[in-house]
Amino acid sequence: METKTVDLSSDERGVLFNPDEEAKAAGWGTDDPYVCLEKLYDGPPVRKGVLEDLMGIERQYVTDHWGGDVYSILSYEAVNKAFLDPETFSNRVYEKMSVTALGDTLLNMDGGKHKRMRNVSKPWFKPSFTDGWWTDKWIVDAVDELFERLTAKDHADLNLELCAPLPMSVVSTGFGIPADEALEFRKAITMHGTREEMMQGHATASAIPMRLMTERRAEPEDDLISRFVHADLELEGGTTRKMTDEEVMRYCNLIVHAGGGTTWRQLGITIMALLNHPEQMEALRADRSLMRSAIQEATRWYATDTAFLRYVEKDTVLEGVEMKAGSVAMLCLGSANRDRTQWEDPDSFNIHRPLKRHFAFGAGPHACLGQHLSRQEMEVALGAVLDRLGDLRWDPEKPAARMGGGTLIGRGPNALHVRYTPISRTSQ
Amino acid sequence: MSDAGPEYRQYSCLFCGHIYDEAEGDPDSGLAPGTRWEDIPEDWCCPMCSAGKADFELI
Repeated sequence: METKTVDLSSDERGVLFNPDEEAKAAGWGTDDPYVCLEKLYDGPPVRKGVLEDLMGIERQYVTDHWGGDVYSILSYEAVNKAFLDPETFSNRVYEKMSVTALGDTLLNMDGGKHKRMRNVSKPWFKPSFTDGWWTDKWIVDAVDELFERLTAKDHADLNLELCAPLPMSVVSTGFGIPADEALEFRKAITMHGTREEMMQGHATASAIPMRLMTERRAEPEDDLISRFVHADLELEGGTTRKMTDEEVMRYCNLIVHAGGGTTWRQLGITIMALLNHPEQMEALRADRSLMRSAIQEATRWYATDTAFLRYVEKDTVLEGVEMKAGSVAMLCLGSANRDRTQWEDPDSFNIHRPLKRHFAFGAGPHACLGQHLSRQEMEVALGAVLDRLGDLRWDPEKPAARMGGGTLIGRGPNALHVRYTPISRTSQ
Repeated sequence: MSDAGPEYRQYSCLFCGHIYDEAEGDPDSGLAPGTRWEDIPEDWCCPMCSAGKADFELI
């Protein structure tokens, strides 16, 4: 079988795939957001002020040069209204942040431009495509390969040996980036380090997709980059044209960056939660129809990103609070997903809750494009964890797992040291 | 209840919050205003996040 996964056991990964180390490299504080949010739960649903200031932590997102007022949106209803009203709460705010790293992407686009650009790739991320093409061609093989390594021994750090390599491998190779270049590409688009290293990263982040585009135009393969270079982009007047190299490259950077990071951390959070609630892990092992609820609950209970931003396009009133055009709204997923009016005992992890919408993957027109792919990867991976790692438990000789990462961005466990009895596929 | 029949209902997508309003339909997908939920084809998907029809709930 062709290797489809990345081995992260060497030091080549640098600070990658340790949420605390990644956060420190980015200059973010690493306080646990939920401890800091507790004091805000019973207060007003919308408050004037910077979220970090209200939480009592160092600022990560907001800098003084933004100008305008800042509001923190805290409740489920208020966050929902903001997500679903993109004409008032736009993504233009990300022009100040992500464009430097990722270029002009879906993340900072709005309105018709965003819709037309998103429509290019929408068919490749819908559930029927993730259940089919992504699963059959990439996810199952990658999971099998990782579990061949895992079941050759009786202990592992599931963070580095499953949660991190799986989504990075799936999204990179599915896009068309060879597995042996996936880590180099990820390091390039994550861009930690000195100015020289970042410049080098930018060059690599361009060179790899550019080479692949040239190759795929000449000889298409069954991957996303081939689909992108031959796809039509609808223009404002209804005519179409092919995507430019620059547009495909930015799409590539965004998808590989987001797809390789979010699912890594969210899968780790889910495994950590199940290991800390063994009775729920056993319930899931016995009844796989709980899988969807388990993933929905883990993403609600501890979303890897605590807050998203929006730009206030026009004067508005949200939950009785007046907001001026030009302000920035900080939509706090962390508090909204633990809103006392929406869930009973919301701080508890409970996979038996009824399915209910939450905001871990955002909502509205900018709801995470890859959320169905992410859920599918987690479902296949968790199924294999339950099937092939018998008597799964924390490794008593290793430090206890703990959540790390930036307080508002990139939360997840730093390590998941476990012991188990390997189960071969033939004995299932 | 109106003279024309039952009032129009709204359904919300579990994954992105998009609301399908029977009164408005989904013209981009060929569903005219007034299309009842039960008349929507099973392969219709959320115009915002592509979730399936089964992933919507009555609100």
